[in-house]
Amino acid sequence: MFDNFLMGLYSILQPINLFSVLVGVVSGITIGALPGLSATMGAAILLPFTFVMEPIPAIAMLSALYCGATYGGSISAILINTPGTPAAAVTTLDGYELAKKGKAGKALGASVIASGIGGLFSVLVLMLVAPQLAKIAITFAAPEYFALAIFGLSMVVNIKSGNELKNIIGGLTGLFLATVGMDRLTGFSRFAFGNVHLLSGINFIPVMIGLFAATEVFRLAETWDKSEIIETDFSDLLPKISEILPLKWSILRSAIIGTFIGILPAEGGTVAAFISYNEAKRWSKHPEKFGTGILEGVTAPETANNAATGGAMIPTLTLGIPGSSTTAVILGGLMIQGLRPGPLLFVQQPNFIWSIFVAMAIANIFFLFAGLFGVKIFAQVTRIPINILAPIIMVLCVIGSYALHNNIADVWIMLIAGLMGSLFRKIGFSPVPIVLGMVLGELIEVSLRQTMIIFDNNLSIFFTRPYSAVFLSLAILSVLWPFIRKSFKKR
Amino acid sequence: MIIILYILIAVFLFIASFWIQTLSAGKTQLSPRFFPQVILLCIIFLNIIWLYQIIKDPEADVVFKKISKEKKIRLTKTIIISLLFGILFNWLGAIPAILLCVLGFLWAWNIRKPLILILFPVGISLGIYLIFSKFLSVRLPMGIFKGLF
Repeated sequence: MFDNFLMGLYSILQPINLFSVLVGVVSGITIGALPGLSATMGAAILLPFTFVMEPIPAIAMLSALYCGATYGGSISAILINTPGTPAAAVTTLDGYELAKKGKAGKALGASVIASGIGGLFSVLVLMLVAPQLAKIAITFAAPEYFALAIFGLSMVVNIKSGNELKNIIGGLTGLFLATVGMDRLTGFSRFAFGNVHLLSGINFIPVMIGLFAATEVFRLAETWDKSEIIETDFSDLLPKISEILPLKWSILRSAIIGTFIGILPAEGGTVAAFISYNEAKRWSKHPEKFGTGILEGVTAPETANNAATGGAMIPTLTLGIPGSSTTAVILGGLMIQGLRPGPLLFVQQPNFIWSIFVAMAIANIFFLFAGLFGVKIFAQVTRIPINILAPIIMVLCVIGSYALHNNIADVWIMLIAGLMGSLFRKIGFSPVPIVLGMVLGELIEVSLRQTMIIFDNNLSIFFTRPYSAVFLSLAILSVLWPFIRKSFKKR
Repeated sequence: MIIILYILIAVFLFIASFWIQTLSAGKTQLSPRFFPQVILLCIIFLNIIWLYQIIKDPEADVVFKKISKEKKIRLTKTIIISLLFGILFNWLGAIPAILLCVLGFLWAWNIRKPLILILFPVGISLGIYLIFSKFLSVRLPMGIFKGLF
């Protein structure tokens, strides 16, 4: 492991790779600090820039952006009471209260320290767990992959931003979209209706750019108002050791919660931050002080949402199942580079894998410094008017979709996805299940059909093989869990 | 209304799935129709449940939030300009389309300062040209200007 780490470190210390990490972190903090622009959207609009890059700098940049944006969300949450990313929503509760008391600098300092610790903790877990998980996953055959993908998809039921039924419909819609085009096993056309562009299928990258970035432009068009900024004192950025030390157990607990939540497919930093905040409040000797402006109310969610970044990379890299919406974009980036995420990647490309691990660790260290010494500059980002940013985002959406295959059809797919995403959001759908369905669709169908061919249409095989039985049981539990929870609450 | 439309589209696609070619000798494997048909049946079934829930309790469903007239106009303009962008991007060429559409977006988002309206679209177009066309070597569409440069 140590040899692999050194190999990854050596690779990432190459100037081009280090520069990519730096670009990723700076763009991430900037995007994260801008209210309304999420890490996923940042990754989606940065994706086209990676098309011509080598795999290591490309994925290192996207991963660094993920870390930077997750931290960056806390800047606007603290300064203007508007979370830069959904994961920073809980940070507003105490962060903004601290800012109103004239302690914004201290809140920002505590936020960056907690984010850095959370991020580094999760990268450490990623380094320890991912290779072991990959060793197990390498023994998987078609039935296990089918069961695993079903388990990944089943997690959409628990996504907080939509209701269970709509999340399932969204996931199924994504699965259906994945079937459009030529059938992988027989080569027969499906739902192309004579359209040459549809024959090669609906690529999920333009759909993702549309759902996560173009939809945001439409949403901002109907919601944006001029936001007010409170004047901030940055003179007292570093919290005293006596202020941080009592929070060590809270930070450690949040780091563990964040990493674990991050590992669960489809869950992300937002859920982790909410749970950590509640747990910090529950374990606190002064729960009544939460929401009035205390440092623990900032450090708990910030540690957790950044810890979720490393956690989310575990299923993405080892199993090819995105741990969050941002890692779904990173997964897209991997595929563009011709890499198939999964256990084989650990065997065939250990240098690449360990470079990404190290890149994430360095990204967390970078934003720790950037946050402590450059927060004044990043705070100015919150002043950039959205009406200046909106056209830039739309231009990058169009160019990014086109640059994928130099094909105008992808631009139209992106625009349609953007409009549909806007409509879906209005009727209470989250875009995440649709993307997850599209990402996992091919794996589910192909592995199901391969299993049926290999095991002579014997469905019981899914329940007689241990891993597949475990994954399917977890999937059933995951789907039923919200309904079980509701029935318990009623009692 | 949207649910009914969703169900109708799913039914149409389900019927269309019977036109998907299958292997005549492929009795031992699942046909290419099987998977989409199962998904579409699930979509239809779940949408019917959703519809039933709304009929039973209309307040339980998400209600469209009312937005001000100004924001409604801004949204409409943004959608129209985005669609025009898609058309002009291929027909007029990438750079002129970006120039015009960024100008349109700024206008739609209530920016009236002449300096910004002139410099910003030019700057963005130039930036995109330099980054994507020159630095990243992406072949942007030339549109009606093809052959001129």
